[in-house]
Amino acid sequence: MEHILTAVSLIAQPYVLMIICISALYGLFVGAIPGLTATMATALLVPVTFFMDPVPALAAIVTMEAMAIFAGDIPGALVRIPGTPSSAAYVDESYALTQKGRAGFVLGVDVTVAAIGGMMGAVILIALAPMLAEIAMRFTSFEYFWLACIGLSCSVLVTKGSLLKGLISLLIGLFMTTVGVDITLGYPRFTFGITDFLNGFTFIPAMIGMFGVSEVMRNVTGDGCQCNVGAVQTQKLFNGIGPVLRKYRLNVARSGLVGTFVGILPGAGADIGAWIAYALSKKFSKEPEKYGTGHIEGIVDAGTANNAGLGGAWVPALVFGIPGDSITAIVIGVLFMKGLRPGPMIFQRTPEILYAVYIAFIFANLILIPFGVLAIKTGSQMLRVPRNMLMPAILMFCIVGAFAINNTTFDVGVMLACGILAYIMESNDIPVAPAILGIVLGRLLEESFMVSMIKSDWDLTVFFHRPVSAVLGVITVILWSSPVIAAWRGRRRVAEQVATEEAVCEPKIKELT
Amino acid sequence: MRVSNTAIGLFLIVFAGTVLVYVQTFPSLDNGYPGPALFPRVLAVLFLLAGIGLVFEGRRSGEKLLKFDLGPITRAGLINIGLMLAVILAYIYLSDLLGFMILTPLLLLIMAKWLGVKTHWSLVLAVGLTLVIYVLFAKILLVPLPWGLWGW
Repeated sequence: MEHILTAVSLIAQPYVLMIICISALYGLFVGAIPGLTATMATALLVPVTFFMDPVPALAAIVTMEAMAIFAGDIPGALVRIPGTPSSAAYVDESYALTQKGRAGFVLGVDVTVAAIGGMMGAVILIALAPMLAEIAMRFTSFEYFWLACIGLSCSVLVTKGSLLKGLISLLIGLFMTTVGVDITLGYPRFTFGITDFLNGFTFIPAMIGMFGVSEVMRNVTGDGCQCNVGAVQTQKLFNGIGPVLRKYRLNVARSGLVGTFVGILPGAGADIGAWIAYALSKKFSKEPEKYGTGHIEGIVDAGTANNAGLGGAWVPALVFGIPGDSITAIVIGVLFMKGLRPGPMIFQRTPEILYAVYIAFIFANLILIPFGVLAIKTGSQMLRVPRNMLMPAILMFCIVGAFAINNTTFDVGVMLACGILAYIMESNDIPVAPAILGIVLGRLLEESFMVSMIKSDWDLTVFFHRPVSAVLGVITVILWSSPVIAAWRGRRRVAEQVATEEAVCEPKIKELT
Repeated sequence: MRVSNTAIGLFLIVFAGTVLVYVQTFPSLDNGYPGPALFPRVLAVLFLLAGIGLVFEGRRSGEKLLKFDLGPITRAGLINIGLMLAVILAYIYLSDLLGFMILTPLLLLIMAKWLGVKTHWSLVLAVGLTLVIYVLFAKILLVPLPWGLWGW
């Protein structure tokens, strides 16, 4: 209770409130512009928050992400382009309703369920994190090694598309962490005599490159969206929303839970949560035939889930230091740079930081509705902001942000290299998210392994000696074998199908001959 | 900018091979236990396996070995990317000489004009954003910016 009061007093200062409001507007703007993602917004915000105290810095990021994920719905409904990947699951549905002249209604529902979903995610975070932290208190380097393995494996397993390319992305991220002084002997690895490399890749410039510069590169190649949008009828925005919420209250509850738990999975963020919630919604709906024609049910589900996922992603981030999505990955990297190691110790040593995150989440979701309405009203103007002015501005922010962290142009070079790398990766369907998790967790993985090995005099079985460690180890092995089993079962199913088809066809062929 | 899976796979195999050879120069721990070389070596082996997997996938799908296509990117788009990268390089090499107050508006102006923004709007962007960044970083956050030879 005492901590909560401290946290409230930390948040309720004019300076912090002002920062929250500015980051809310920033989040709404970035979220509403197609092609600019919430992760990019975080990467660009980090150089600014880096120089602030932890409480306003974390509050700024939490508020910004909540706003950005909702705002992604605005261009989805107005021009059928998702503002962030998290709104992609239901753009067609939203746009179909807009064409029926109900854009105001869709966006009204969007903002309401986003706030409810976000609040559910926050409540689960607040309830679950301390319980898990109790368990995490007893963890040693063995358990942390397995946790890092589980986190990294999840990030590969949840990638859309080829698992092999997800793995390659992860390896790229892990390999980047081997640059610099090694932890066992202090030997400089892959530095090639460059002193700037001794501490490894500087994290923030690398993130700005991977999410900022690569986005700019993608955006300047296309024609951009020629958005001709009319204003939304926002007079009676919340008319008819009450009955919708009452009718689909079970959907909201289900999707809030689904979104939060998908958010907790390392590497799976709001976008995957929205896709799963949408698919479940269609599966369990009484009117599945209406999906795709402008039916609000799927929007309610997916719109709740993506905002709920944000709170979920902070659970493993705060408790274990394992990021739940790309945004928390960036936050963890920054906390490390500030000497704050996320994990159960935060709960004992600096609980006010924890409570500040909690309260920021609740506060952000409370102000989501008024700020969201403002964004809906100005949505069509935001979409008219000329892209050819926006891109130079973003690129300049990237450069100055990368420079500012250590005051060196070397970091600008790191940003450039990482930007090109991420651009090439994405162009070849290699996802970037596993690489980010690799960059954040690589050191933890190597350190916990090496420490455990030196402690046990290179006896590999110690990883299974402690009961918790053994359980985590078994989970890891199951995760690793799951794609193999899935592939094998898939192949067997095909073989069975072929066999039954042959059995059916053979008599007919005989008859014919 | 897509290349074939086979080409990516081959690249990864070569990369992994180079790493495996290079980490042999790393020292090991007492009693000959692996030290700094262990983690890069494990990663290199995984890179090697992933590379072989990609080559295998690429061959099985029967794609061209040296496929290189720009996809939907036009020539103009490619030049735009080049300009963006050149701007970053210019910042790396010129900021110590020219300083923030000259270089930032200059680069902004070049980018905006190149992307087809009207001159007066380009000027507004160049001057306005330079001031915003200056106030935000140098005045509010108290972060030094590159001042250049003239101390601006």
